[in-house]
Amino acid sequence: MKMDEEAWKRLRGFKRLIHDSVERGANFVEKHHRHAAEKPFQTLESITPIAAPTRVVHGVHNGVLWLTYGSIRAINRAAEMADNWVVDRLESADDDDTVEKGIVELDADPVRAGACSPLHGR
Amino acid sequence: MQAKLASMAGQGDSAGKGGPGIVEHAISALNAWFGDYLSQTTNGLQQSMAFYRDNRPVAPEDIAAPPTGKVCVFVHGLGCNESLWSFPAPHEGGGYGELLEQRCGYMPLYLRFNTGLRISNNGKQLASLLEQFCARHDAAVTELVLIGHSVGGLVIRSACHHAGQDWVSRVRHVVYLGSPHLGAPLEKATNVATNVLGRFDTTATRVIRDLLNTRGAGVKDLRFGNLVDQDWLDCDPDELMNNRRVPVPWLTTARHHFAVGQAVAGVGTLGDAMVGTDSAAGRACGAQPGAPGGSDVQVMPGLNHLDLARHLSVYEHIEGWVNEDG
Repeated sequence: MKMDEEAWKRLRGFKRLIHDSVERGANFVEKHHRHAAEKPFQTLESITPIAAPTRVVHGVHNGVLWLTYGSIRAINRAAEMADNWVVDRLESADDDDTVEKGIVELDADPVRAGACSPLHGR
Repeated sequence: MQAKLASMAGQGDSAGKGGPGIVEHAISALNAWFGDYLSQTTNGLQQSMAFYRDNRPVAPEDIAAPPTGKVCVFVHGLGCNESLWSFPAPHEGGGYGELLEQRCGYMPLYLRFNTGLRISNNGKQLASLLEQFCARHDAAVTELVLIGHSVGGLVIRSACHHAGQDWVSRVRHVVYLGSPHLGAPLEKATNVATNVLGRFDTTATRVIRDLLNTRGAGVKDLRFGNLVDQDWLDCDPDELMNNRRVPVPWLTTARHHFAVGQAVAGVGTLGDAMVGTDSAAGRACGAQPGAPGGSDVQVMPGLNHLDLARHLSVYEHIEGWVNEDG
Protein backbone atom coordinates (compact mmCIF):
# COMPACT_ATOMS: atom_id res chain seq x y z
CA MET A 1 0.00 0.00 0.00
CA LYS A 2 1.45 3.38 -1.00
CA MET A 3 1.48 6.17 1.53
CA ASP A 4 2.00 9.82 0.70
CA GLU A 5 4.28 12.20 2.59
CA GLU A 6 1.42 13.49 4.73
CA ALA A 7 0.45 9.97 5.78
CA TRP A 8 4.04 9.19 6.84
CA LYS A 9 4.20 12.46 8.73
CA ARG A 10 0.99 11.58 10.55
CA LEU A 11 2.18 8.06 11.30
CA ARG A 12 5.36 9.45 12.84
CA GLY A 13 3.30 12.03 14.73
CA PHE A 14 0.96 9.37 16.06
CA LYS A 15 3.88 7.17 17.07
CA ARG A 16 5.50 10.05 18.93
CA LEU A 17 2.21 10.90 20.60
CA ILE A 18 1.88 7.34 21.89
CA HIS A 19 5.42 7.30 23.30
CA ASP A 20 5.07 10.78 24.81
CA SER A 21 1.78 9.71 26.37
CA VAL A 22 3.42 6.66 27.96
CA GLU A 23 6.31 8.80 29.25
CA ARG A 24 4.11 11.58 30.58
CA GLY A 25 1.53 9.09 31.82
CA ALA A 26 4.22 7.24 33.79
CA ASN A 27 5.46 10.54 35.28
CA PHE A 28 1.91 11.56 36.12
CA VAL A 29 0.98 8.27 37.80
CA GLU A 30 4.32 8.13 39.66
CA LYS A 31 3.81 11.66 41.00
CA HIS A 32 0.32 10.90 42.28
CA HIS A 33 1.28 7.42 43.51
CA ARG A 34 4.09 8.98 45.52
CA HIS A 35 1.75 11.66 46.85
CA ALA A 36 -0.88 9.08 47.85
CA ALA A 37 1.67 6.92 49.66
CA GLU A 38 3.30 9.83 51.43
CA LYS A 39 0.52 10.49 53.96
CA PRO A 40 0.28 7.04 55.59
CA PHE A 41 4.08 6.86 55.77
CA GLN A 42 4.26 10.29 57.41
CA THR A 43 1.59 9.28 59.94
CA LEU A 44 3.36 6.04 60.79
CA GLU A 45 6.74 7.76 60.97
CA SER A 46 5.34 10.14 63.58
CA ILE A 47 4.71 7.19 65.95
CA THR A 48 8.05 6.86 67.73
CA PRO A 49 8.15 3.08 68.40
CA ILE A 50 7.62 2.18 64.72
CA ALA A 51 9.28 5.22 63.14
CA ALA A 52 12.58 3.51 62.33
CA PRO A 53 11.19 0.39 60.58
CA THR A 54 8.60 2.58 58.78
CA ARG A 55 11.39 4.75 57.40
CA VAL A 56 13.05 1.61 56.07
CA VAL A 57 9.81 0.44 54.43
CA HIS A 58 9.29 3.96 53.10
CA GLY A 59 12.73 3.94 51.50
CA VAL A 60 12.16 0.50 49.98
CA HIS A 61 8.77 1.64 48.70
CA ASN A 62 10.25 4.73 47.04
CA GLY A 63 13.01 2.62 45.48
CA VAL A 64 10.50 0.14 44.08
CA LEU A 65 8.43 3.06 42.74
CA TRP A 66 11.46 4.53 41.03
CA LEU A 67 12.39 1.14 39.56
CA THR A 68 8.87 0.36 38.37
CA TYR A 69 8.14 3.66 36.65
CA GLY A 70 11.73 4.00 35.52
CA SER A 71 11.47 0.60 33.79
CA ILE A 72 8.30 1.71 32.03
CA ARG A 73 10.11 4.82 30.78
CA ALA A 74 13.17 2.85 29.73
CA ILE A 75 11.16 0.21 27.87
CA ASN A 76 9.13 2.97 26.22
CA ARG A 77 12.29 4.69 25.00
CA ALA A 78 13.72 1.42 23.70
CA ALA A 79 10.45 0.69 21.92
CA GLU A 80 10.52 4.18 20.40
CA MET A 81 14.03 3.64 19.04
CA ALA A 82 12.97 0.28 17.62
CA ASP A 83 9.87 1.54 15.92
CA ASN A 84 11.73 4.62 14.61
CA TRP A 85 14.08 2.15 12.93
CA VAL A 86 11.18 0.12 11.51
CA VAL A 87 9.33 3.20 10.22
CA ASP A 88 12.55 4.57 8.64
CA ARG A 89 13.04 1.27 6.77
CA LEU A 90 9.40 1.07 5.71
CA GLU A 91 9.42 4.65 4.48
CA SER A 92 12.62 4.24 2.46
CA ALA A 93 11.28 0.95 1.02
CA ASP A 94 8.11 2.80 0.09
CA ASP A 95 10.17 5.55 -1.59
CA ASP A 96 12.31 3.01 -3.50
CA ASP A 97 9.17 1.23 -4.62
CA THR A 98 7.77 4.52 -5.89
CA VAL A 99 10.95 5.27 -7.85
CA GLU A 100 11.09 1.74 -9.33
CA LYS A 101 7.43 1.90 -10.28
CA GLY A 102 8.04 5.24 -11.93
CA ILE A 103 10.90 3.78 -13.99
CA VAL A 104 8.78 0.78 -15.05
CA GLU A 105 5.96 3.12 -16.06
CA LEU A 106 8.40 5.28 -17.99
CA ASP A 107 9.78 2.22 -19.84
CA ALA A 108 6.28 1.07 -20.65
CA ASP A 109 5.44 4.43 -22.21
CA PRO A 110 6.83 4.27 -25.79
CA VAL A 111 6.82 8.03 -26.25
CA ARG A 112 8.66 8.83 -23.03
CA ALA A 113 10.92 5.77 -23.33
CA GLY A 114 11.83 6.92 -26.83
CA ALA A 115 12.58 10.36 -25.56
CA CYS A 116 15.12 8.87 -23.17
CA SER A 117 16.60 6.48 -25.75
CA PRO A 118 19.97 7.25 -27.30
CA LEU A 119 18.27 6.44 -30.63
CA HIS A 120 15.86 9.24 -30.13
CA GLY A 121 15.92 11.68 -32.99
CA ARG A 122 17.14 9.23 -35.66
CA MET B 1 -36.92 31.49 0.46
CA GLN B 2 -35.91 28.54 2.67
CA ALA B 3 -37.36 26.02 0.19
CA LYS B 4 -35.34 27.55 -2.63
CA LEU B 5 -32.21 27.59 -0.50
CA ALA B 6 -32.85 24.01 0.56
CA SER B 7 -32.95 22.87 -3.05
CA MET B 8 -29.69 24.72 -3.79
CA ALA B 9 -27.98 23.61 -0.59
CA GLY B 10 -27.30 20.04 -1.67
CA GLN B 11 -25.66 21.01 -4.95
CA GLY B 12 -22.20 21.87 -3.66
CA ASP B 13 -19.70 20.44 -1.29
CA SER B 14 -18.21 22.83 1.20
CA ALA B 15 -15.23 20.67 2.02
CA GLY B 16 -14.60 19.62 -1.54
CA LYS B 17 -15.30 16.18 -3.00
CA GLY B 18 -12.93 14.35 -0.67
CA GLY B 19 -13.85 16.11 2.55
CA PRO B 20 -12.35 15.39 5.95
CA GLY B 21 -12.94 11.86 7.23
CA ILE B 22 -12.90 10.30 10.67
CA VAL B 23 -9.09 10.58 10.93
CA GLU B 24 -9.21 14.33 10.26
CA HIS B 25 -11.99 14.76 12.81
CA ALA B 26 -9.96 12.86 15.42
CA ILE B 27 -6.89 14.99 14.61
CA SER B 28 -8.95 18.20 14.91
CA ALA B 29 -10.21 17.13 18.33
CA LEU B 30 -6.67 16.18 19.38
CA ASN B 31 -5.43 19.61 18.26
CA ALA B 32 -8.05 21.34 20.39
CA TRP B 33 -6.93 19.64 23.60
CA PHE B 34 -3.21 19.11 22.96
CA GLY B 35 -2.59 21.75 20.30
CA ASP B 36 0.23 23.55 22.09
CA TYR B 37 2.02 20.27 22.90
CA LEU B 38 1.72 19.18 19.23
CA SER B 39 3.10 22.55 18.15
CA GLN B 40 5.99 22.58 20.65
CA THR B 41 7.06 19.07 19.67
CA THR B 42 6.52 19.75 15.92
CA ASN B 43 4.36 16.66 15.86
CA GLY B 44 3.10 15.56 12.45
CA LEU B 45 -0.44 15.50 13.79
CA GLN B 46 -0.50 19.26 14.20
CA GLN B 47 -2.99 21.00 11.92
CA SER B 48 -0.91 23.81 10.50
CA MET B 49 -2.96 26.79 9.43
CA ALA B 50 -3.84 26.73 5.73
CA PHE B 51 -6.73 27.08 3.35
CA TYR B 52 -8.09 23.65 2.49
CA ARG B 53 -9.77 22.26 -0.58
CA ASP B 54 -10.61 18.58 -1.13
CA ASN B 55 -9.01 17.77 2.21
CA ARG B 56 -5.66 19.17 1.00
CA PRO B 57 -3.89 22.39 2.00
CA VAL B 58 -3.70 24.99 -0.75
CA ALA B 59 -0.98 27.65 -0.67
CA PRO B 60 -2.32 31.22 -0.96
CA GLU B 61 -0.37 31.68 -4.21
CA ASP B 62 -2.02 28.58 -5.73
CA ILE B 63 -5.55 29.83 -5.18
CA ALA B 64 -7.17 31.16 -8.33
CA ALA B 65 -8.14 34.82 -8.42
CA PRO B 66 -11.78 35.38 -7.46
CA PRO B 67 -13.76 35.97 -10.68
CA THR B 68 -15.98 38.60 -9.07
CA GLY B 69 -13.33 40.07 -6.79
CA LYS B 70 -15.36 38.95 -3.76
CA VAL B 71 -14.02 36.42 -1.29
CA CYS B 72 -15.50 34.98 1.89
CA VAL B 73 -13.24 33.27 4.39
CA PHE B 74 -14.64 30.66 6.78
CA VAL B 75 -12.89 30.12 10.10
CA HIS B 76 -14.12 27.11 12.07
CA GLY B 77 -14.47 26.69 15.81
CA LEU B 78 -12.74 24.66 18.51
CA GLY B 79 -11.87 21.08 17.61
CA CYS B 80 -13.46 21.35 14.18
CA ASN B 81 -12.32 21.56 10.57
CA GLU B 82 -13.88 22.84 7.36
CA SER B 83 -16.51 20.07 7.36
CA LEU B 84 -18.22 22.09 10.11
CA TRP B 85 -19.67 24.27 7.34
CA SER B 86 -21.49 21.41 5.56
CA PHE B 87 -25.23 21.29 6.03
CA PRO B 88 -26.47 18.17 7.80
CA ALA B 89 -29.10 15.86 6.27
CA PRO B 90 -31.32 16.37 4.31
CA HIS B 91 -29.27 19.16 2.67
CA GLU B 92 -25.91 17.39 2.84
CA GLY B 93 -23.21 18.46 0.45
CA GLY B 94 -23.57 22.23 0.54
CA GLY B 95 -22.94 24.95 3.02
CA TYR B 96 -22.92 28.70 3.47
CA GLY B 97 -19.91 28.97 1.16
CA GLU B 98 -21.59 27.28 -1.79
CA LEU B 99 -24.76 29.32 -1.37
CA LEU B 100 -22.82 32.58 -1.09
CA GLU B 101 -20.89 31.61 -4.23
CA GLN B 102 -23.98 30.67 -6.24
CA ARG B 103 -26.22 33.49 -5.10
CA CYS B 104 -23.87 36.38 -4.33
CA GLY B 105 -20.66 35.63 -6.25
CA TYR B 106 -18.35 35.19 -3.23
CA MET B 107 -15.48 32.76 -3.69
CA PRO B 108 -15.33 30.66 -0.49
CA LEU B 109 -12.03 29.89 1.23
CA TYR B 110 -12.03 27.39 4.07
CA LEU B 111 -9.42 27.66 6.78
CA ARG B 112 -8.16 24.75 8.87
CA PHE B 113 -5.96 25.42 11.89
CA ASN B 114 -4.74 24.18 15.25
CA THR B 115 -7.43 25.39 17.62
CA GLY B 116 -5.39 24.46 20.69
CA LEU B 117 -2.90 27.26 20.03
CA ARG B 118 -3.27 30.72 21.54
CA ILE B 119 -5.92 32.79 19.77
CA SER B 120 -3.37 35.59 19.33
CA ASN B 121 -0.96 33.17 17.59
CA ASN B 122 -3.68 31.94 15.29
CA GLY B 123 -4.74 35.54 14.64
CA LYS B 124 -1.22 36.50 13.56
CA GLN B 125 -1.00 33.46 11.29
CA LEU B 126 -4.37 34.25 9.69
CA ALA B 127 -3.33 37.87 9.15
CA SER B 128 -0.16 36.68 7.42
CA LEU B 129 -2.07 34.15 5.28
CA LEU B 130 -4.59 36.76 4.12
CA GLU B 131 -1.75 39.20 3.47
CA GLN B 132 -0.08 36.65 1.18
CA PHE B 133 -3.35 35.88 -0.59
CA CYS B 134 -4.18 39.55 -1.19
CA ALA B 135 -0.60 40.35 -2.23
CA ARG B 136 -0.75 37.51 -4.79
CA HIS B 137 -4.02 38.70 -6.32
CA ASP B 138 -3.81 42.36 -5.38
CA ALA B 139 -6.40 44.22 -7.49
CA ALA B 140 -8.37 41.01 -8.13
CA VAL B 141 -9.57 40.97 -4.52
CA THR B 142 -11.90 43.88 -3.92
CA GLU B 143 -14.02 42.65 -1.04
CA LEU B 144 -13.45 40.30 1.85
CA VAL B 145 -16.13 38.82 4.08
CA LEU B 146 -14.88 36.99 7.15
CA ILE B 147 -17.15 34.43 8.80
CA GLY B 148 -16.11 32.83 12.07
CA HIS B 149 -17.82 30.25 14.21
CA SER B 150 -17.11 30.23 17.94
CA VAL B 151 -13.35 30.65 18.51
CA GLY B 152 -13.03 31.32 14.77
CA GLY B 153 -14.69 34.71 15.33
CA LEU B 154 -12.09 35.58 17.98
CA VAL B 155 -9.28 34.48 15.65
CA ILE B 156 -10.71 36.85 13.02
CA ARG B 157 -10.80 39.75 15.51
CA SER B 158 -7.25 39.00 16.54
CA ALA B 159 -6.13 38.79 12.88
CA CYS B 160 -7.75 42.16 12.10
CA HIS B 161 -5.97 43.65 15.12
CA HIS B 162 -2.58 42.28 14.06
CA ALA B 163 -3.00 43.05 10.38
CA GLY B 164 -1.30 45.67 8.27
CA GLN B 165 -3.46 48.00 6.22
CA ASP B 166 -3.49 46.10 2.95
CA TRP B 167 -5.91 43.21 3.31
CA VAL B 168 -7.80 44.56 6.28
CA SER B 169 -8.94 47.59 4.27
CA ARG B 170 -10.79 45.19 1.94
CA VAL B 171 -12.84 43.62 4.73
CA ARG B 172 -16.45 44.77 4.35
CA HIS B 173 -18.29 42.43 6.70
CA VAL B 174 -17.36 40.25 9.63
CA VAL B 175 -19.90 37.65 10.73
CA TYR B 176 -19.58 36.09 14.19
CA LEU B 177 -21.54 32.91 14.78
CA GLY B 178 -21.71 32.21 18.50
CA SER B 179 -18.27 33.71 19.21
CA PRO B 180 -17.52 34.17 22.93
CA HIS B 181 -16.36 37.81 22.91
CA LEU B 182 -16.69 37.98 26.70
CA GLY B 183 -15.69 34.39 27.34
CA ALA B 184 -17.36 31.01 27.51
CA PRO B 185 -19.08 29.77 30.69
CA LEU B 186 -17.85 26.18 30.30
CA GLU B 187 -14.20 27.28 30.35
CA LYS B 188 -14.91 29.57 33.32
CA ALA B 189 -16.59 26.68 35.17
CA THR B 190 -13.63 24.40 34.40
CA ASN B 191 -11.22 27.03 35.72
CA VAL B 192 -13.19 27.40 38.96
CA ALA B 193 -13.55 23.64 39.30
CA THR B 194 -9.82 22.96 38.86
CA ASN B 195 -8.96 25.64 41.41
CA VAL B 196 -11.47 24.25 43.91
CA LEU B 197 -10.14 20.73 43.34
CA GLY B 198 -6.61 22.04 43.92
CA ARG B 199 -7.60 23.15 47.44
CA PHE B 200 -8.16 19.54 48.51
CA ASP B 201 -5.05 17.59 49.30
CA THR B 202 -6.30 14.25 48.02
CA THR B 203 -4.96 12.17 45.18
CA ALA B 204 -8.32 11.86 43.41
CA THR B 205 -8.92 15.64 43.28
CA ARG B 206 -5.33 16.33 42.21
CA VAL B 207 -5.53 13.75 39.42
CA ILE B 208 -8.77 15.25 38.06
CA ARG B 209 -7.36 18.79 38.35
CA ASP B 210 -4.12 17.90 36.56
CA LEU B 211 -5.95 16.06 33.79
CA LEU B 212 -8.32 19.00 33.22
CA ASN B 213 -5.40 21.44 33.22
CA THR B 214 -3.79 19.64 30.28
CA ARG B 215 -6.32 21.33 27.96
CA GLY B 216 -4.83 23.53 25.25
CA ALA B 217 -3.95 27.18 25.67
CA GLY B 218 -6.51 28.01 23.00
CA VAL B 219 -9.23 26.54 25.19
CA LYS B 220 -7.99 28.54 28.19
CA ASP B 221 -8.12 31.70 26.06
CA LEU B 222 -11.88 31.16 25.84
CA ARG B 223 -12.24 31.95 29.56
CA PHE B 224 -12.39 35.68 28.84
CA GLY B 225 -11.99 35.74 25.06
CA ASN B 226 -8.29 36.67 24.93
CA LEU B 227 -7.26 38.24 21.63
CA VAL B 228 -3.70 39.51 22.06
CA ASP B 229 -0.46 38.32 23.69
CA GLN B 230 -0.70 40.84 26.53
CA ASP B 231 -3.85 39.05 27.74
CA TRP B 232 -1.91 35.97 28.79
CA LEU B 233 1.83 36.74 28.81
CA ASP B 234 3.68 36.31 32.13
CA CYS B 235 0.78 34.83 34.02
CA ASP B 236 -0.30 31.42 35.23
CA PRO B 237 -2.78 30.07 32.67
CA ASP B 238 -4.68 28.28 35.43
CA GLU B 239 -5.02 31.13 37.93
CA LEU B 240 -8.51 31.61 39.32
CA MET B 241 -10.74 33.84 37.17
CA ASN B 242 -8.30 36.67 36.65
CA ASN B 243 -9.41 38.70 33.65
CA ARG B 244 -6.28 40.34 32.24
CA ARG B 245 -7.75 41.31 28.88
CA VAL B 246 -6.61 44.58 27.42
CA PRO B 247 -9.30 46.44 25.44
CA VAL B 248 -9.03 45.63 21.74
CA PRO B 249 -10.88 47.99 19.41
CA TRP B 250 -13.21 46.58 16.77
CA LEU B 251 -12.30 46.97 13.13
CA THR B 252 -13.91 50.27 12.21
CA THR B 253 -13.85 49.89 8.44
CA ALA B 254 -16.11 46.81 8.40
CA ARG B 255 -19.67 46.04 9.46
CA HIS B 256 -19.99 43.51 12.27
CA HIS B 257 -22.82 41.00 12.43
CA PHE B 258 -23.60 38.61 15.26
CA ALA B 259 -25.69 35.46 15.17
CA VAL B 260 -26.64 34.50 18.71
CA GLY B 261 -28.03 31.02 19.34
CA GLN B 262 -30.79 30.35 21.83
CA ALA B 263 -30.71 26.62 22.52
CA VAL B 264 -34.03 26.77 24.34
CA ALA B 265 -36.29 29.20 22.54
CA GLY B 266 -37.27 32.04 24.85
CA VAL B 267 -34.59 31.29 27.46
CA GLY B 268 -31.89 33.86 26.79
CA THR B 269 -29.76 33.12 29.84
CA LEU B 270 -28.69 29.72 28.45
CA GLY B 271 -27.44 31.23 25.22
CA ASP B 272 -26.64 28.58 22.66
CA ALA B 273 -25.70 26.12 25.43
CA MET B 274 -21.98 26.95 25.04
CA VAL B 275 -21.82 30.75 24.78
CA GLY B 276 -23.99 33.26 26.62
CA THR B 277 -26.14 35.83 24.81
CA ASP B 278 -24.18 38.94 25.88
CA SER B 279 -20.89 37.29 25.02
CA ALA B 280 -22.05 36.15 21.56
CA ALA B 281 -23.62 39.54 20.86
CA GLY B 282 -20.33 41.37 21.48
CA ARG B 283 -21.77 43.60 24.21
CA ALA B 284 -19.49 45.92 26.17
CA CYS B 285 -18.26 44.68 29.54
CA GLY B 286 -15.95 46.55 31.89
CA ALA B 287 -13.07 47.99 29.86
CA GLN B 288 -14.01 45.92 26.83
CA PRO B 289 -15.60 48.01 24.11
CA GLY B 290 -18.88 46.67 22.73
CA ALA B 291 -19.49 46.15 19.03
CA PRO B 292 -19.66 49.42 17.10
CA GLY B 293 -22.99 51.13 16.52
CA GLY B 294 -24.89 49.84 13.52
CA SER B 295 -23.84 46.24 14.11
CA ASP B 296 -26.50 43.62 13.59
CA VAL B 297 -27.37 41.19 16.35
CA GLN B 298 -29.69 38.38 15.37
CA VAL B 299 -30.97 36.01 18.03
CA MET B 300 -31.74 32.58 16.56
CA PRO B 301 -34.32 30.79 18.74
CA GLY B 302 -34.02 27.01 18.91
CA LEU B 303 -30.48 26.90 17.50
CA ASN B 304 -27.61 25.53 19.54
CA HIS B 305 -23.92 26.38 19.20
CA LEU B 306 -23.16 23.99 16.32
CA ASP B 307 -26.39 24.75 14.46
CA LEU B 308 -25.19 28.33 13.95
CA ALA B 309 -22.56 27.10 11.48
CA ARG B 310 -24.96 25.13 9.31
CA HIS B 311 -28.53 26.21 9.30
CA LEU B 312 -30.50 27.69 6.43
CA SER B 313 -32.14 30.31 8.62
CA VAL B 314 -28.70 31.59 9.69
CA TYR B 315 -27.61 31.63 6.06
CA GLU B 316 -30.60 33.83 5.15
CA HIS B 317 -29.36 36.45 7.62
CA ILE B 318 -25.78 36.19 6.39
CA GLU B 319 -26.93 36.75 2.82
CA GLY B 320 -29.00 39.72 3.91
CA TRP B 321 -26.05 41.21 5.80
CA VAL B 322 -23.49 40.88 3.02
CA ASN B 323 -25.96 42.25 0.45
CA GLU B 324 -27.17 45.17 2.49
CA ASP B 325 -24.74 47.69 1.05
CA GLY B 326 -24.15 46.09 -2.31
